[in-house]
Amino acid sequence: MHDTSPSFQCSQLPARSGIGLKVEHRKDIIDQKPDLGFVEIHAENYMGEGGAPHRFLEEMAARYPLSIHGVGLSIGGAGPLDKEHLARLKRLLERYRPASFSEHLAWSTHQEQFLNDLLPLPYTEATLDRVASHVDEVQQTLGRQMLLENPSTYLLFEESTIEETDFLGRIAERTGCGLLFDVNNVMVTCTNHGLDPMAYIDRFPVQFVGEIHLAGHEEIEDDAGQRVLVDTHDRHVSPDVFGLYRHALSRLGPVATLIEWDNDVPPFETLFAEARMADAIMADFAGMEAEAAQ
Amino acid sequence: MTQAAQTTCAETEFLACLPAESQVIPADMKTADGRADGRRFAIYRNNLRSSLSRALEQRYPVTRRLVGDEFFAFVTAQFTVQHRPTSPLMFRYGEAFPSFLGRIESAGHLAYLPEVARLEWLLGESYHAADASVLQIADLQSLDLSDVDAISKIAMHPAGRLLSSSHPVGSIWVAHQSENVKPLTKGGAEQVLLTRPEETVLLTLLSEAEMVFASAMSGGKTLEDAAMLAFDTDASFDFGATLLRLTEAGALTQNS
Repeated sequence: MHDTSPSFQCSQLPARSGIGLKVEHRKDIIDQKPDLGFVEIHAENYMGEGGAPHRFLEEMAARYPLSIHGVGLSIGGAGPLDKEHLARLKRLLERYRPASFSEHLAWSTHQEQFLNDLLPLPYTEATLDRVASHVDEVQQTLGRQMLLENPSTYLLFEESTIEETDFLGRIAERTGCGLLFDVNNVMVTCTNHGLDPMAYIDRFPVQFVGEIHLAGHEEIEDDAGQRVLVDTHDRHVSPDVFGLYRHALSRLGPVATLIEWDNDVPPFETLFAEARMADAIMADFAGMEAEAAQ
Repeated sequence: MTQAAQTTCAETEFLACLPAESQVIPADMKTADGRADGRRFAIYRNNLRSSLSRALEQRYPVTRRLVGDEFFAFVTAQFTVQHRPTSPLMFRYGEAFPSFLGRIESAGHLAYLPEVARLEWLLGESYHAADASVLQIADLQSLDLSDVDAISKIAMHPAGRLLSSSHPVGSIWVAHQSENVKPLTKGGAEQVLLTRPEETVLLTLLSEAEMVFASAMSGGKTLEDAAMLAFDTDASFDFGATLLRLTEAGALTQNS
């Protein structure tokens, strides 16, 4: 079977590992010139008018392919998108011309309140219409394709009628957006809802994936003593998640893979070692084409 | 009710459940085995509270050192409940924190606290402010003081910030940049100038007349008008020396 959207371009990022860029690592990166596939930033941290953040980003964008990852657009929100924020995003993308732009299937803003978190939404025909129209608006305004990321969730909505994997696949089909496949979020979400993460990966519409995220999570217990995983980005990628990553690559082939470590940021060497681990795993799948393209 | 309207209500209900003291969770949110689970929903409460507190810790490190971690956590817990961010730009979060500190009764004996916090807020503003060329000493030397047009283009640099305080806020802030804080030898009012000649924000203490001059420049006055105001404050105001000082600090730019 041929893909129905032959013009589909996942992202311009190389099929290599990259790291979430932290200003703490500036000196290490400049001194050591590490061989990184790409670097990724959170868009909102670079929306100040000038000064050091922009100097840093200019330096890094001159050295490595850049991925800009938004955390504040609230694409899954019930209200309209924040036009002012979208305009800021457009200016940032025009200035730095990143190889990829991505955002989340989540909401974070309600009216005038920004909650600084990626909050869940029910998966229904109505929310699917709304998310698709938001993604259309983003892509039209920015004049480029975006990647939409699968979330980490802790509770389910009784109102939901659509599987998360189907929801994401239908958004991608309707809008032409790509998907950012967060394998740690797969582990977190599936564990929290008693689902098999391998089966989730098997169901995932991999033909749309332009990037993978890997990160660390924390383990807690809920009211009933059940194991709950929390998406914390504050530690090593767990061996389980690397195992799932292998499974994802067996369907996808090599694809740009980010190590996210946003809290309790480690020394650069620790983060870089994690990225090299992803590269080593990816090497096992070299020469393999994505399943959907066969 | 339409489905879209239902989802708006879902967000409202979610928000109503977010305060730490809330005992309820959204009725529609369940575990896979159909339970309402408070600990799971509390993950969202914790994320909100801890991420906002962390933003304030990063923005107000000296204020935090002055009151200690425990009291700072107590105050930020109250502030973050009353003041949620209004923009996804988190570096703009917490502008109201200094005045909030001023209203905290248990911090009443630390009269300088809100003003140190205000200084830290301005430091962040200066750090993120727009780029512009910085007027250099050489530019000043080549300037023809009779060229009214050239003189009128000299203005405050966009990253310049000013703070007049009845407390020695600049000295307090400087003293808390090192591990071992030495007690201040003198109190009293201070006028602080913040500049960003390159990437790092610098702090300079100004005299009262210099402050009048810099404030006037900051308010868009010309060099000449600003100097007149400074002379009115202090007849011994030294225009040339002040211009040199502000230029050395990187406080000025030359508009095109």
